[in-house]
Amino acid sequence: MLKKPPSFFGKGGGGIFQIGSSNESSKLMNFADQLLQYLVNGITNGGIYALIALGFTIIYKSTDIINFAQGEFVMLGAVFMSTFYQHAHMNLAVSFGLAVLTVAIIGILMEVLMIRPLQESSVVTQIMATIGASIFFRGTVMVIWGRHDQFVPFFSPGEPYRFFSAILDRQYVWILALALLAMGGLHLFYEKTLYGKAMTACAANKKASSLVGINVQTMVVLSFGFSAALGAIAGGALAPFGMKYDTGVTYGLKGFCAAIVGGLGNNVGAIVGGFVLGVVEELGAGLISSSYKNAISFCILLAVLLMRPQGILFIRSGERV
Amino acid sequence: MSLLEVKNLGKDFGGVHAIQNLSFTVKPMSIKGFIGPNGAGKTTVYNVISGIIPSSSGEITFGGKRITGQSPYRIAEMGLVRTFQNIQLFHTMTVLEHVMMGRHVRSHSGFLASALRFPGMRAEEKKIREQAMETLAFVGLKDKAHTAAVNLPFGHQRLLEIARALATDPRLMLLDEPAAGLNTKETGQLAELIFQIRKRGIAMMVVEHDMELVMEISDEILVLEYGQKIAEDVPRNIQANPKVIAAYLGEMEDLEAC
Amino acid sequence: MIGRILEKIERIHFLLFALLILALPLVLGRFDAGDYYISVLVLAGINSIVVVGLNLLMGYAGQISLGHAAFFGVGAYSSAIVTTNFGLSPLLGFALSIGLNAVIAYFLAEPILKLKGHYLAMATLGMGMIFSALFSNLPITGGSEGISVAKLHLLGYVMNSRDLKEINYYYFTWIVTLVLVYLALNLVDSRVGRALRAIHSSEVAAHSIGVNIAHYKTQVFVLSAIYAGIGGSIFAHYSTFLCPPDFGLNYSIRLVTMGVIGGMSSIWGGLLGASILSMLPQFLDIFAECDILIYGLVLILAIIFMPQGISKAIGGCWKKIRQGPVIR
Repeated sequence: MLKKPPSFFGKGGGGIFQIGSSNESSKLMNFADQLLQYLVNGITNGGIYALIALGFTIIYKSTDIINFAQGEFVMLGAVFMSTFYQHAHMNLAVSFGLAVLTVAIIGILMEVLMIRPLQESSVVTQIMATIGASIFFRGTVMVIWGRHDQFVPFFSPGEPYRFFSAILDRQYVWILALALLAMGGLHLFYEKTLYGKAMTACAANKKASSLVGINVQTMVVLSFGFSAALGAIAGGALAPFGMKYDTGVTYGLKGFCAAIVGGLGNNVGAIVGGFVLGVVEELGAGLISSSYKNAISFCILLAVLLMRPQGILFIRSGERV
Repeated sequence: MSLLEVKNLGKDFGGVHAIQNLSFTVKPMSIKGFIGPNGAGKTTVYNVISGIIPSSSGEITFGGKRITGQSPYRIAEMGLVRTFQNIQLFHTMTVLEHVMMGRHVRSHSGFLASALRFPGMRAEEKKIREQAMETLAFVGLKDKAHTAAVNLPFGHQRLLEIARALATDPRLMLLDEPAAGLNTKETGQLAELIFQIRKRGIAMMVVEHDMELVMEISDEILVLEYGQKIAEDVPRNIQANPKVIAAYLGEMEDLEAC
Repeated sequence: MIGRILEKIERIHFLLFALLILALPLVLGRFDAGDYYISVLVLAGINSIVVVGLNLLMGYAGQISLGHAAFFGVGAYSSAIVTTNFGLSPLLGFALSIGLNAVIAYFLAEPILKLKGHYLAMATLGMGMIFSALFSNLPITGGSEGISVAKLHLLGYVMNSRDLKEINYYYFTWIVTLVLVYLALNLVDSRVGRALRAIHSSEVAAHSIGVNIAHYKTQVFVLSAIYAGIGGSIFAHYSTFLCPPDFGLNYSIRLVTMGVIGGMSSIWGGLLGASILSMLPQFLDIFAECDILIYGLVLILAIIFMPQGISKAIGGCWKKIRQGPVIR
């Protein structure tokens, strides 16, 4: 049986380090160490947020819909990977790959069965439909897998690495590597393949794209597939920490903050937004209070929406230079 | 004494000068034609005057009061309303409700009065309804009062926009291509309606591509090209103005080149 | 003239509905599980208040909110703190609930309602999450431990004592609901209601014929927050124990779901949606473990097949029946 590892999210660095030591000099030392630890944790979380934010962005660009079921793709990724590993006794890599593929297919089905009929609907309807899908996914997983966490073993078990004074869990390295790999792959796909270019064209102008012979519908289907796959990659990477039917919600919301922070509808923005949110959130939680960790993310979200709705990266679209 | 006075108006979008140094006036109860090739900036001028977008420079006064930088609703309160080139109807409302919306600026009942149905609110509501019906009768849409506005034929939708604007008791109406999409008969009726509106003491500015109509109704015509005024004169002189002819000939050539 | 008649009919609907509500306990009292149904109906009444307010904001003025649980929570905690922590009259709790929500909504409305569509949805969602973090961390709300609330004493009566089988609280809740519904019905059928619908359809047209958009958006936001707060206060005395998860994202989403399923652009739709979805989980108990799944499925199917909500779907059918078969 697998032992439940310490929770990855929620506690973060706060659980490992005790703030406020008796000794003055060690307090100073500790503070620098803590900062480094927060940074390491933040960047790792940021990788996950960036993947989810990318998922939001890809779907938003192709359909103008915010997919509130994005977090459920993460959860589904972890749950499927665990099932393939635990019950079908496949090795970790194969389970991971199959889970990503399965979730991608679920994403595509979601587009075909639900999003397509609602293309002309109001924003409220579309939002509620994707919320409906997220509730449905949660419900299905609860019925089939129950209410407890699903696990896989750590990808490479062993003592954590030390990065200067910070502790770097081996799984964190996997998370970051997988996130960067997925981003790189996506970048290559967009830049080097015909399909990638067609998707970019569709995002820029659907009408013009269909006039030059691009099948816009196919591109929308692809975008749902990719978006779900990205979520599942994040989910697979997080699977050793355990996931259950309702774990996806928080991830979805965080990814969604990241997408806004970076500027909705922009891939680079989503990635930058993810890392920025991860780090700021971890620092805020560590330095202020970890119980306000979620609130910090949403304060950042509100601040960005109210002051720079175009995101932190780019100049306002009206101001051409 | 002029009703609307636009002085050295300018509007930039990024580096693009959409309007440059534009000055003109509209006298009370007059009709000013406003023409120019496509993309000359006519609608932008309307958007700036009605307060929907801010100006970059210059000053606009209406009825002796400065309205530059005012909110659109304040400008409407002062008696300056506009219609839209791409008709802007309220998709959930009937024809009558549209015109009742026009009475909004001339009525006062707020949330509390409406929720509690104060007697004053009931009386006001009745008056709004009557005045709206009157306005509908004036433009000839009375028998369509309870039709959903989106079900009206196109020509009637244009009339409805005018009725809605008219119901605000304006002193100046900015009409944006009121004849676009109308047939010859409807255009004739529109000209008649415009004269009727003027008889009520309302001045108008009319952006229109139907030259025959503009020449017929306008007291004066303002011609815009690339955001700049190239002529402002009575219709007869405009027709003979070489600059105006050149501007429109240019457009003809562009069209032929296509 | 026709308008007058329509107005009369609207009020007749309302009267019939009010009679039905007042008579319902007499019928339900004859069943064994009558008390249970009554307490479910109390919840339906509470949700109706919140959803009717939300419909004014979303269905009429067209401004999305995915964070109304925040105002519901502020209302509930106001009542709880005033009565439990300070031992003051519950009426003061209601007053604080209304006042506090009005002030909070007033100051949030200006910046938030400048946003549109998805951006507005996210900003309100963020607002809700921040409040929910406050509810579970502030000392005065009892944090994640929760806080208990006294039963409601009004005019010398305990409105919700066990031995009275919740019936008093049923009447209390539904009379407040009926009053608020009546006010909402009046409001939408007025100059203000038209202005809100105009903003929904075309902000630029509404603005340029003289509707002060920012002013109306702020006011309707405040009003919907007040409705949510009143609902929250009634809920506080009903549940007699508050814990933060009751006022989180899930509740915000349930509120919007109620509106969507019943019909957003109709006060009756709000009532219908709130009532159906308040009762549904009770019946879904039969399906025990599948409740979330069925809930999600109902939501998806409702949105795809009845995008205007049940009230409009019924209205459409009724129209067809009255007009008879379409002759081509």
